[in-house]
Amino acid sequence: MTGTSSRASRRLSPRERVSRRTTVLRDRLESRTDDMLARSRSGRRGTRVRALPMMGTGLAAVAAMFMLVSQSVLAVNFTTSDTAYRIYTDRVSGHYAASYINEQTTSSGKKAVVQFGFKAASLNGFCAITQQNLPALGTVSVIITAGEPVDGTTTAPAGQTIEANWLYLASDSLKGNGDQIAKMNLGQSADTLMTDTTAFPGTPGGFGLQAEVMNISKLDTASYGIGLDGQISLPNLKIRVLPGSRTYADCVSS
Amino acid sequence: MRRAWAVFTAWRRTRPFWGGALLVLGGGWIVRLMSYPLLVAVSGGWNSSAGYIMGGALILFGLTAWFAPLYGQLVGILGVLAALAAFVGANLGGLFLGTLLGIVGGSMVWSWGEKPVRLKGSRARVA
Repeated sequence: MTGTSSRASRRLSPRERVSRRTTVLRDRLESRTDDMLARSRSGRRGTRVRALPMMGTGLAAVAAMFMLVSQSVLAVNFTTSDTAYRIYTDRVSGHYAASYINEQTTSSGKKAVVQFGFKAASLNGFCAITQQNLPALGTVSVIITAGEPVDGTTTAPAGQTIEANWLYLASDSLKGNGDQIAKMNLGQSADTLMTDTTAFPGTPGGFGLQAEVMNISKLDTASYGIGLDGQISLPNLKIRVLPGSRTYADCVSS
Repeated sequence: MRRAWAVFTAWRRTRPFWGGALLVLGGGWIVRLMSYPLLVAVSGGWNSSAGYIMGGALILFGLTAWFAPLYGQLVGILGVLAALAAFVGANLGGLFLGTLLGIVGGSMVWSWGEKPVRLKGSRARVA
């Protein structure tokens, strides 16, 4: 009997074979679905109360890490590409800085930016404001502050200095008072730029700037990227989420 | 249409659906906030790809909870751990929100399972 049936199946046209296969698959899917429907009716399943201790543990761990970050024991990684941040600080003391004009690839095309690189930078106060458009909530500003209050005067209380290594900024606007700049080369070909002993090359022939000491006070930048190859310590870290667009004035009010 | 909804409900009730959804949401938020174009991220080393790695892990764990609920307890714990790692590694865990969603979602996935049945009007539990 099997012989005849196999001969019969060999005589099936390809279309018939496909339709038979589909029927088998559909039957299997249906039986699985029925299984699932039956299983869903038997017994109650769901999130059990033991979620709470787990959540508590997780939140406690985050709180502990937050403490470590704000006591500058733990350094964090802070990078972004096409979210525009406004960054304010009372003073940047940079060692081995270089900059050139660059294009930044964002998801909405390319933008011309000034690419800054610092081998080591210490910041007196840090305030970053970014805006996010959220569905249902509208515009929301996130204000991240660390170190001393950013109010235009450098007070430098002990233990409140923010240290960043290999800090890169891609800014399309930058304001500040350069109050101590030493060993600066202006107009150096961008491909020969160095931050100390590490190359920081831009486009060959492009305009480049290189300095061994670069201190800027009352810095105000609009940056498309904060890049860090090292890490940043953020003492006294605070994150605030406020509705609407926020500006420099909101850096101090806490 | 009604049958499709019934099937979806059954699918939802036989796996840690909401916990997985929160994990996916948290991971997606972390990736969105990092917002590197993929090509830049893969060429830029750890600092620019951390968002994709951490956020991607959360999304992966959420999807695993959905499509392989058998591994719920494992991916729940891994999800919580990845959310914690994202706090250090990826923009403070997507400005806190991604880490929060990941912890809540991960614990929900971890704790998902048979609930003790309470009979009406009595406190007796039936296993």
